[in-house]
Order: sequence, then C-alpha cells, then structure tokens
Amino acid sequence: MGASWWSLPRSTRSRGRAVAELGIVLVVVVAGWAVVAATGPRDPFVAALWSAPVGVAVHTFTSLGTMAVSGALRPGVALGLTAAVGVAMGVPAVRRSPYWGRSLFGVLVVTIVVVFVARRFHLTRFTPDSFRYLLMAADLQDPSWPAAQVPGEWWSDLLKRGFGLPAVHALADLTDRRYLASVGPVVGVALAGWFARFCWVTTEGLARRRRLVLVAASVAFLGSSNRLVYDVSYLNTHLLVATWLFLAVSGAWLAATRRDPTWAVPAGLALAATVLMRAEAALVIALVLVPLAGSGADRRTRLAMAVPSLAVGATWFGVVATYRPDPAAWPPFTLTGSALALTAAVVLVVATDGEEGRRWGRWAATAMVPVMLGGLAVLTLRDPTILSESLSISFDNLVRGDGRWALTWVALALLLPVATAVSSFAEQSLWTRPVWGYLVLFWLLPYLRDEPWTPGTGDSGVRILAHVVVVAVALLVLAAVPGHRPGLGVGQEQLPGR
Amino acid sequence: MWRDRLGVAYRAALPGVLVAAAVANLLLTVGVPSIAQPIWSHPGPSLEAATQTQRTNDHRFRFHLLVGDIVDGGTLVVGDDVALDQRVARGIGGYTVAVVPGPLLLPDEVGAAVPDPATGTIEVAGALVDYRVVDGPLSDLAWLATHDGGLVVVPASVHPVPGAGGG
Repeated sequence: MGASWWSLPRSTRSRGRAVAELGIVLVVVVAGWAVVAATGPRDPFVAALWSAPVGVAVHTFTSLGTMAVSGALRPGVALGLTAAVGVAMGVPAVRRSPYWGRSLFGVLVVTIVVVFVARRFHLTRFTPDSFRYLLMAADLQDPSWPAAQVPGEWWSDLLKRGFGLPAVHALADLTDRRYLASVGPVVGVALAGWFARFCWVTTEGLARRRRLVLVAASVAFLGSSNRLVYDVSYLNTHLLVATWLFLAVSGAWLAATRRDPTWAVPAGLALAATVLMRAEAALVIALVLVPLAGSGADRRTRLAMAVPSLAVGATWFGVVATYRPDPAAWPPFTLTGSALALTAAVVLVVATDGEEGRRWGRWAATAMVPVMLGGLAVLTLRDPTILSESLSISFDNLVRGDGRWALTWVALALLLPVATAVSSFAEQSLWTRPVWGYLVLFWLLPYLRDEPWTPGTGDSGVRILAHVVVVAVALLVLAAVPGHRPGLGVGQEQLPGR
Repeated sequence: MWRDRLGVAYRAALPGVLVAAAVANLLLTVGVPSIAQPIWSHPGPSLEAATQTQRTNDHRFRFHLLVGDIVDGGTLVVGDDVALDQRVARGIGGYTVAVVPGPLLLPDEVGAAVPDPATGTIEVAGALVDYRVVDGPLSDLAWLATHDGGLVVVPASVHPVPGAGGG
C-alpha cells in the first residue's frame, strides 16, 4: 500500500503538483506547436513562438466540444483531446526534419523553465474578477449543470466573461490547485518573442544598427508598459486576448502580403479563440475581418481567417441558447448582437473574394471607422453624459496615472496619428483600421454596457487597452520603415517561412 | 511634400521617443509604489487556493469559499466578492463574521451589514443573525463556510468591534 497523498511530506506534495501543472502546460503547448507546424508557415521558429497561444486556443476549442456534447465542462477529456491533436499533427512534423525536432525541444525547455519560475515565485495576481472566473470553472464542471436553475445573473456573468478562461483554469483541478499559475507567463514569453521576431524581420530594409535600435526601443516600450506586464501574471483574459489579436493581425497581414495562406490558419484559430474570452470579441473580430475583405488576400486566406470564428461562435452561442434560451438573461450585445456582427463580418470577407467583390470589400473597409464614428456621434447626441464622463475618467486613468499605464498611452496618442499619416506599406489597412477601429470601439463600449468607464485599474476600459497595445506598437514600427511600396509587402525575401 | 518630411522626422524620432517613454514608464513605476507593487513585489505567500463547496437548501446555488492568493493592492478575496485586507492572510484576525443559515448572500443583497456588539447580532438582508469575531487564520473562515452555512465577512476596521483586535 502506498502512502496517501496527505501523508506525504509537504515538499513531496508540492513537487507532485508542480509536475502535474508542468505536464498539463506541456500538453497544451506541444499541441499548439503541432498545429502550427502542421498547418502554418514552414518555419520552425514561428511554430515555437506561436505554440503556447495557439495551444491554449486549441484547448479552449476541445473544452467547448465537451460542453457541446456532454453539457458540462470536462477538463480531463478536453486535455486528452488536446493531446490527441498534438500527437496527430506533431509526429509528422518532427519526422519531417531534425530542424523541427530542435524547434520542439526549444519549446519544451523554455516551457519547463517558465512553469517552474511561475510556480516557485508565486507570480499570479488576482482581483475579484479572477475569482469569478475560477468559480465558473468549478460551476461548469458540475454534473448537474446546466440543468440546474442557476440564477439569471450567473448566466449573464458567464456570457459577459466568456467560457475560455474558466476552461483553461479548470485544468487546475487535475493539480490540486484552483488555477494554473504558469499559463500567463508562458503565453507572455511567447508574445514577447513573436513581437521581437516580427519587428526584426519586418525592418530588414533598415541599416543594421538603426534596425537594432528601433526593435530594441519598441520591445523596451512594451516591456515598460506596466499594465501589459501586470497582465502576464494576472488571472484574467487580457494577455491571451492581446496575444491572439496580435497573432491574428500579423498573421493575416503576412498571409495577404506574401500570398501565403498558411499564415492564416493558426492566425484564424487565434482570432476565433477570442470569441470565448470577451463579450465584445465579435466586434473586435469584425475589426480584423472587414479590412481583410478589402485586401488582396486570396480565397484560402479569407476562409482560414473567417471560418474558425464563425464555427466557434456558432458552437458557443448554440450551447448558450440551448441551456439558457431566455434572451432576457443575456446581457446587451452578448449573444444576438455578437452573432449578427460575427456573421456579417464573415460573410463579407468570404463574399468579397474576386475583383468585383474586392471593390465592395474596399468600400466596406474604408467605411468601417467612419461608420463607427457616426454611430458614436448619434449615441453621444442621445446621451452625451456617458461619453463626457468616460472622457474625463479616461483622462485620469491614462494621462494622470490612475489606470497605471504610466506614459504608454500618452506616447501612443502622439505617435499613432503620425504613423498612420506617413505609413505606406503594403496592405497597411490591415493594421491601421483594426487599431483605429478599436480606439473608436473603446468609446462605443460604454454605450453598449450603458455606463461610463470607471476610475482606477479595475476599470474595464483601462484593462482592455492591453488588447490592442501590441498591435498599435507594431504599427508604429512598420510605419518607420521607408520605401515600402504598396502591393509588394515588406522584406519578402527574409520573412519567416520563405 | 509635407508627408515625406513628416515621414523623415517620424522615422528619425521614433526610437528616441519610444526609449524616452520607456524610461519614463520605468521611473514612474519605480517611483510610485502603488504602480510598482503589483508587478515586482508579492505581498505574501501563495495560499494555493483551496476551495470549499457547500450546497444550500435548494441544491442549486453553491457557495464556494476561495482562499486565494493575495490580490491587487494587497487585498485578499474570500468568497464571492467579499474582500478583506491582507492582514487576514497573515493570520491576524479581528474580523466580524456573520454565519448565516441558508444560501449565500451576494454582496449587494447583504448591503451594509452592521454588527451590534451589545446583542451579538448582525443585520444581514433585513434579518438579525448571530455573528462571531474571528481571530485566527483563514482556515477558520474556510471551516466556518464549510460547516456553518453562508458567510458574511465584515472587516473590523470598517465596523469596529470591541475586543476584536482589528483596527
């Protein structure tokens, strides 16, 4: 007879839990690596850098599958499915060449180090919102859920917060903890790596020293952004959404400029995963897809970027509508509005393939931000208080320091208009329109939730700016490379995967 | 063209502006403890979040008590949106705990729960219930939540209780 768990020395128990968390995170990350290796660009470096965020996305999909089939979240089953995806797609990739094997080995080493550091130094940060996610992770695993008549407020909260993060941290039940301390740090390292790599490759037209200074400055700027760094260890959706959005925008742009749809496959998966994380995700997805409709992206790129979001959205909305058919329990814009926005964006990007269609797509992409501004003007005329209060509070949060972004958004407010005015790189609207659309959406969201932003770091407005900050800084870098002629892409001969 | 000149100026200035902003960000972060604290310091040990679950009369609404890590600004969250300050995490008591029979009361249902030391009761959602002052580690609160039913926790610093020890 072996000793029971609780009779083991405490240090032994801790090591066991650490190993369990390491095993879980490795399964997720390797599955992500395998998906990128099998479907993405032929670049082992990209497979390594995208592995963690894509792996988490894949796991949210398998978790959603268990919800759809069994009516409850099954973290063990979902992890098994995620592992199966990793094996099925990863084995052929490793056999392809030793280079891919080294890529996987690098991923494993970095993941192991980050997991142990995250656990050893207790980096995780919580707020009451974090605990709501963890409570949902427990609720969703209840065998009696969702047949139980849980309060409408619970549903409203779930729809607002999304299924994705509870699905990720439900895996902690396999470790005797209630959360996975290492998910944020592992994704944060991947985000930093991809951002640096992307900036380095896309600035290849610059002199080496100048290029080094620009990339180092942009990395330092992001690395000094208090709230973004905070999000690495904060148990909430923000870092994942920021990472997925950057992968989606950069991947879509690379696919369009390089005429290489393989970039769009993992990028489309990342974009789709945001549906499960944020109430406003469908609107943000539209901000990415509508500019794509007006781009020169081919049909495969359009399908790869759009279809996963529609499939994931339909599944999630279907689960909700099945178990909570009363629309009165849905918060504004969470289901009906999201479904409409998502469907319209997907139809637009798919239907505008071809010369004639692209003309309509360009028109829609050009009109997107002005239409949003028009909507904001109408809403402001109807109720100016929400905007005026949001302006005042956001000034305190972002300029006077209450939101703890320090000077990040002050600098971006000065630089972004200039960068947009001077940029002339290929398919630049795939960057400029999502960024400006997001910044307009920032002022529209208080109207959709029917209350202004609130003071301090707990404000949703302060938090969600993290989602777009990486994309915005990447736009600054792209705009700083001279001589990018429209239609030719940037430094194609040295872009990863070529 | 003005656009070309602006482009040249932008490209020349961008690295410097980014570095200056990064330095300012770091100085602000280091110089303002309220900004620095959430990132680079950790106010206490991980409590390895333990969850206690209790089903209530209608078997529908569950009360989880999550004993979690220290959170933003040194606040510890116990239960569903009930926040205590970090003294609790250090095992320092002095908190008024109303043990409420029946389902968990959400914070907005609780309202301003005011203990009355003279009678030993606290008014919660319009009803008077007995309360006790906890002067022990968080595990005591977890035990209470598990065995005695719903729980409302009021920091003694907000509602001073004679002899409670909190301030």
